This record gives sequence, C-alpha cells and structure tokens, in this order.
Amino acid sequence: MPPAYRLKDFVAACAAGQIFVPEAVLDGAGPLLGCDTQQAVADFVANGGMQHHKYKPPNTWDGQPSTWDRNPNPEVPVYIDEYDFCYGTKCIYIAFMKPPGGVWIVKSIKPSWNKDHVRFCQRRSLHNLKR
Amino acid sequence: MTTRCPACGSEDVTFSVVEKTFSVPFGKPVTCMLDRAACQRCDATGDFAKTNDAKIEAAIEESEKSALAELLSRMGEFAQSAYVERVLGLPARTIARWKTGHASAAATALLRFIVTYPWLLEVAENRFAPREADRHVVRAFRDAFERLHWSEPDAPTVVSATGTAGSAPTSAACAGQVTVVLSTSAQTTSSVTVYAEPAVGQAA
Repeated sequence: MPPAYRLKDFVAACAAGQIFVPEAVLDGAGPLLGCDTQQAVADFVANGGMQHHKYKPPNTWDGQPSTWDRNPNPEVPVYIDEYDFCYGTKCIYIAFMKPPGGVWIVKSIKPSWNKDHVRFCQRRSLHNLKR
Repeated sequence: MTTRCPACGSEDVTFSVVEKTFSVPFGKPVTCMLDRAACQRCDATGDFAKTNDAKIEAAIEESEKSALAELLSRMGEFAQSAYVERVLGLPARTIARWKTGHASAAATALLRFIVTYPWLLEVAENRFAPREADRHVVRAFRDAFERLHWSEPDAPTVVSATGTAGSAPTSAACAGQVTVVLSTSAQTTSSVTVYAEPAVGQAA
C-alpha cells in the first residue's frame, strides 16, 4: 500500500509553517529532537531533518493505512502516514495526517521500534564516526 | 476572534493555562505559563493560536543565559581566558565579551564541549594533530574508566583484564595493548580494547 500523501507536500507545509503539533507530541519531541516549539518541529522537517526516512507500511489487518480514530466525520476517512528516520544514532518514528480543509497534523513523534531501521541508523552513525 | 480546532475546524474549544518548565544543558530550569486549547469534538489538545512558541523561546533563552554563566564559571576553574582564546584562535577579549552575555549559540555549544571534555583544549593546543588527539582520547578513556563508581549496582564489573605490556588496565600509566572485558549486567558483556602508547619515560 503506497503512502496516502506525498512526503514533499508535508515538507512544503512545514516550510510554510502550516502544521499543528499537539501538546502531547511536543512533549515527546522536546527531549527526543530538541524541538520544544511547533515552529521548531516545522523547521526540523523543512530543513531535511527526516534523514534516511523509510515509509512504514500499514500494519492493519486489511493492509489499509491507519486512520484517524477521533475523526468527527468518519464517513470521510483521514489516513495517517508513518515513517521512520535516522537522527544521529537514534531511529525516530513520525506519523502525520491531513484532514480535509484542515492543516497538517503531526500525530506522533517517538522512538521507533522498527528493529531493522534502528540497526540501519546505528550502522550509519558508526560508519560516519569511523571516517 | 474565534479560535478553531486546526484538526477538525470545530469552534467548540475550551481554554486553560498550564505551567511548564524548560531547561538547557548546564542551565537553570525556567517555568512559564502556556495556553492550552482543547477541542471538544475531536479531542485535539495544544496551542491552536500558536501563541506559546514565543513564551517557550523566551524561557529557553533565559535558561541559555544561566547556562552561559555556569559554563564560563566552570571553564574558569581549569583554563585561563587568554589560553583558551590562543589555542582556539579566537580574537583577544572574546571570552570577556561572552562574560557580558554576548555569546552566540555556537559559542555556547563550544563551551559545552570544553566543559564536558576539557582535554579538547589540549588537542587544540597541539594544533589538532591526529596522533596527539588519539593520545588524548585514550587518556580520557582511561581516566573515565578510573572514575567509574564501581560500588553502584549497575556499574560495570571487570570480568577479565589482560595487558600485553604487563600493566593493569586501571593503572595510571597503562601501556601497550590492554583488553578489558566489562559486564554491565547479566545480559550484556562488552569488551574494550585500548591501544595505548607508552607514557613518556616509560618502557613498553
């Protein structure tokens, strides 16, 4: 299943500051990425912060992307795209969505549990250190 | 002006104020009051009007100022300003300017590294010669190894240690190849091999 959105559209929205980062997500992004403000998260993504990103295929039973569980208008599903990316030695998970008529919403920023990508980020980081 | 939920567009939004604390490394924690909006329709919670960013940045800036003072004070305990300026190739009286609060983010970052790893100044003093830099890394590792709190429950324990030059791994003048097997818990065991050059005046 391909991503529901084009990543470059999300990055462009970040560059324009047209995103909303909920309080709970900001609380996690602060210690993890040093981004304490919504603008800091937007700048991070807009400036290529999602290094070596990898789309995370949906893990739902029907293979469909995850949808917004609090969607007040469930007839129009709002899909959530999920990615893992490298941040130094860390591997970070980010999820975002775009409700119709609304701005982009960052649903989650937290440490990734994708073992393959975690190892990939660590290997890359070590490789860079050896240089 | 009505505030709308950025996720669902609803105007059914409630407001409250929350207290949050921010701090930077070496800086004092600074508390500020932030606006919190909560959408009653989709449960989105946060700063809908984006008024908090400026307050958070101000709190972080205040913490950065206290960090700068703390870092300069700590650096003053082991290095003279003129020495630091000379080895780092900074213009004279740069650090005096920093002491008045006029330091860039890059300067504060540099100070954090110097205070955490004071031996970086010696690396700079030797004009960043790779071999000298390696020597300092090995010495820093040895010093850190000796500083470990061996009595703490989660501290590593030396499972075995061998030294080809006949020196113990924790001795002040370890020379030659030293292999130390550390165990930090029942699950993890790590092996560290140190290739150290003989200390001055000591035969390997």
